[in-house]
Amino acid sequence: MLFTIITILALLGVLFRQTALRYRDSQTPAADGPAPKFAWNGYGAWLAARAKSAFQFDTVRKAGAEFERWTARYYPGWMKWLFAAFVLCFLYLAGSGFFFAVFIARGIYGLPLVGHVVLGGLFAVLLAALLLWRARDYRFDEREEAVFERVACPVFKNVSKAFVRKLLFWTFAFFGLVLILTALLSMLPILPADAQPTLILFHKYSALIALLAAVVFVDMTFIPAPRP
Amino acid sequence: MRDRTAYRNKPKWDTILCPAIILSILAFLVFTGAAFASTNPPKWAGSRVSPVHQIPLRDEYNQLIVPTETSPLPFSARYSCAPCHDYDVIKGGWHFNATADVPPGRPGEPWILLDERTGTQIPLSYRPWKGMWKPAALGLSNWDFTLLFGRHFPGGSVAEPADGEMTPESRWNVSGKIEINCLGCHNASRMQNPSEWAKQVLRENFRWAATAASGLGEVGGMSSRLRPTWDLFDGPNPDDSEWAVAPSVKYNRALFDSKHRVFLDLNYKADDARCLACHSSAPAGQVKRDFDDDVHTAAGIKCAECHRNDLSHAMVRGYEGEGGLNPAAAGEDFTCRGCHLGGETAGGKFIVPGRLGAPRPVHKGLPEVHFKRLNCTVCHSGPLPAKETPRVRTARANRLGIFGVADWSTELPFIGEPVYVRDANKKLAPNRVVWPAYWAKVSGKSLALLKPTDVSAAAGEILLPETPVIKILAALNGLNEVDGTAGLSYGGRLYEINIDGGLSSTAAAEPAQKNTAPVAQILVRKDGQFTPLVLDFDPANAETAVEPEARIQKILEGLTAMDGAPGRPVLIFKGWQYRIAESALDKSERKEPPAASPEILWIKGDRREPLIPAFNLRTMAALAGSDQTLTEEQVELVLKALASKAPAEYAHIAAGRMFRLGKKGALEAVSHDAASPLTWPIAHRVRPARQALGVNGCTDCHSGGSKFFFARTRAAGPLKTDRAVVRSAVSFMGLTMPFHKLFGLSFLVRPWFKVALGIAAFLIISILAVLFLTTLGRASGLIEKRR
Repeated sequence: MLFTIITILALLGVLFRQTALRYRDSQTPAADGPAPKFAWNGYGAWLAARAKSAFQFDTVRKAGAEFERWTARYYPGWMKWLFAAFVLCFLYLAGSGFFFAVFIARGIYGLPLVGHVVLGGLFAVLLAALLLWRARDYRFDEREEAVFERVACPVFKNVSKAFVRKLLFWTFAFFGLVLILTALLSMLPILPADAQPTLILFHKYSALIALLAAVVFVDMTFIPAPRP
Repeated sequence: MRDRTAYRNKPKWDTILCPAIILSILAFLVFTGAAFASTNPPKWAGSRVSPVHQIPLRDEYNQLIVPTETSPLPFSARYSCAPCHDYDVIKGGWHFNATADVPPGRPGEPWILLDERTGTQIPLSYRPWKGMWKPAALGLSNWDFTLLFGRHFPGGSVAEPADGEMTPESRWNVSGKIEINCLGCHNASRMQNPSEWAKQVLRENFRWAATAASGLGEVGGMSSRLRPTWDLFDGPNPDDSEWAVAPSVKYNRALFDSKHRVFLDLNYKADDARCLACHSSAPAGQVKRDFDDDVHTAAGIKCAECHRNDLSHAMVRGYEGEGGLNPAAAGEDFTCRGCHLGGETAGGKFIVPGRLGAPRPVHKGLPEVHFKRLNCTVCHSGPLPAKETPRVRTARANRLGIFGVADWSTELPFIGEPVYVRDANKKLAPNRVVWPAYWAKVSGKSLALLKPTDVSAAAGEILLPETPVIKILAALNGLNEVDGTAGLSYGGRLYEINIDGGLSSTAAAEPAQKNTAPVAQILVRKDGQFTPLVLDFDPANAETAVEPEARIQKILEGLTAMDGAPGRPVLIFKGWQYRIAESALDKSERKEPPAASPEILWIKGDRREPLIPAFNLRTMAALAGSDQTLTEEQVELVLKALASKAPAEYAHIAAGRMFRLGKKGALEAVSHDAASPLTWPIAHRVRPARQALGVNGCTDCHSGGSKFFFARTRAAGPLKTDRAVVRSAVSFMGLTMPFHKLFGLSFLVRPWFKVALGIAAFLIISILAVLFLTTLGRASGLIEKRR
């Protein structure tokens, strides 16, 4: 139950934060006046309009074009298909995992579980492959390390978007690893049965963190900034 | 100012009320105290020593038993134990309260009414367990039920009915009631004899059974042979010392002291042998030498260590969820989980594990779902699943544990185990399964059960295919001329009359030849050699035919005098026919082609019929060597016989199907809910951990050919049929086969899957380690310094 509450609150929180930030960015400030105040009515209307546009056929075409553009740059050739498979795996794993964890008291079972296990394996292999391919690009450089040294409250005040993306990338990679390890350890006759609930708990919370990281990463990377 | 006069004139309520209130309180205390005393066992003082039971025995009239007196009565547990143990409290115990209005709890083993002749096997119970028939539905009175199943009764309950519960046709006044047999469970003496108990019950010596079984005395006579008006005070019949002998007790005087007290070697916790007298079970066909006891027994734990009770005899049955129904279960202390895992129960009680030294299982690598969906017994109890669900024989169903010259045990009813079925907690548990078999009248979709006696009456000879053979063989065996034992050879088997007057068959030394029609032939066995009933001779030769013809005359005379002879016997051989005419052998020439070997026929009017009808031979041959007692042909004939006696639609439920007559009069088998199997969970025999299901890994259950998921259970019962239902294990579990096939097959690649995960994890860990170390190096300046 606690996980359900945390999951729903965390997802809503992140979605609200990301959309609210975008809504704020879409507001045109007065030339010499203060930044416009956050208006709930305006936010609601803006959100509705964005949601409506997201469900238009054109959005699919645009997303496809964006995917082509992005993969052409970062995952050229056959790597594009690995990346696509990775994304689809993750979507299925997150969808099936969270749906059953949140809405079904019994948890995941049956064919969805078989799919979860099979695609989980594929996800692990693809994650390792993509990390091998892309890890170098997400190394922390000198400037960002300087930011590290100035870590203070508020933590992310002076952090660049590029740094946040890297941070999200490695967060995703780390918790992806936890997901793989918890799945693997639960299948090996190493730990006693008493450890299984703990492993599942780790698996679920790691999945939540990885999902949140992925949501923010995708929002920052793929979704175009709103026009003011 | 107070009016003193008025005060004086007021009735003095206090003087009336005070004594009334005090008396009421006293009366309340007395009555509630009495009630409390009768429902609450006496408090245990703390001594762990059981008292020595050197006690006087009392009979059912509460009179002291003096073993030296003539014709002493059998002892009564009710009065012999009563001074210290409240019989009425004990009567409420689990073994004695089946007819009482108590929560039934988890289903237990039913009593199975077996009637081999009509192919009936019906699970019965007085408890309202799903799928079981109430005995009253079959018209079984307390008397009938006690006679049928008293052999494995602990006494009390239906065997000790109140006067108002006795039916007119019962003979309780002759037999007496079966009181709760305390010694049946608590007697530590090796003299305690369950076989003697069964024998006495079947002789209707109900009130004498406990005395005889305990070894305290020797009981002779049979109530079943006494006239229905016989009374205990009538005593022995001086005119009959052979047949209708009234039961009597001859106590073993050596067991009594000078004060007529007897030493009873009693166990507070019953020995396992006492429990197993009624609760033992073993795989059908297993050799005793190969049978391993329950792992708890092997560890020295007695049944009663877990299945505990106090004076109320509310036994701990030991299943999860019992705590809410049975206060004596002490909050589920004695489930597998309670002793081995501990933890918090549904009632909020925390159980400390390790009771009686129970080890804590580790279950390395076992996913949690197994604990949520399976009872411990799935992996640890009962036989391991096999390709075909094996059969098991139980004491109560198959009459085990009654020893003597005759074999009392039965192969029927057929009980299978294990099938895995969900219990009230939605967890799988290993179950035993029995397929009901009975006759019924069909009214729309509902079925009205027919009593086996009614079916037998309507079926007549159809259900007795061996009767003509028995009569013929008995008639021949009675002849001096038949120097040996007559038997029937047919279809590669030899049929002979057994010691019980029935027919036994053994495989013939020379099996029947294939592709040739079997021939029935009467043989005579002497000194292990078989010879034809009529030896080869030449009827045309008057000199050599004298002796064989004299033998033929005696044979034909014997058959003529046979009880229920269907006609006049004739013997044909070569071109001759022999018959009895006016007490003499009549020999005449035949017009038909000569018979190669002597053949006996019946003449009924103008018709000639075979000595044994083809239907009887066919049926006997079909059932010979099998444990089944009914053929489809018999079912068809019985259904027709029932319909001809009382026109209606009838059906026979058997082998998981409903057999009925189709529109063209042929037998057809259809599905019907009434033919569904009945299951009840088992907890024992618990195997050692190293023999648990899953000890070899996931593929013990999760594989394409898993016996756990795909074992086949063939509906078995008295009917021999090829149309029996075959169900897979998953259907009992309420699961789907394709999914579990797929899931099982996925385990073929599971090892490679784990390797792939391991490699992926190793690569990711390496990359993260490099990132971490380089970042740390830069943050600390080590990398710059090196440059």
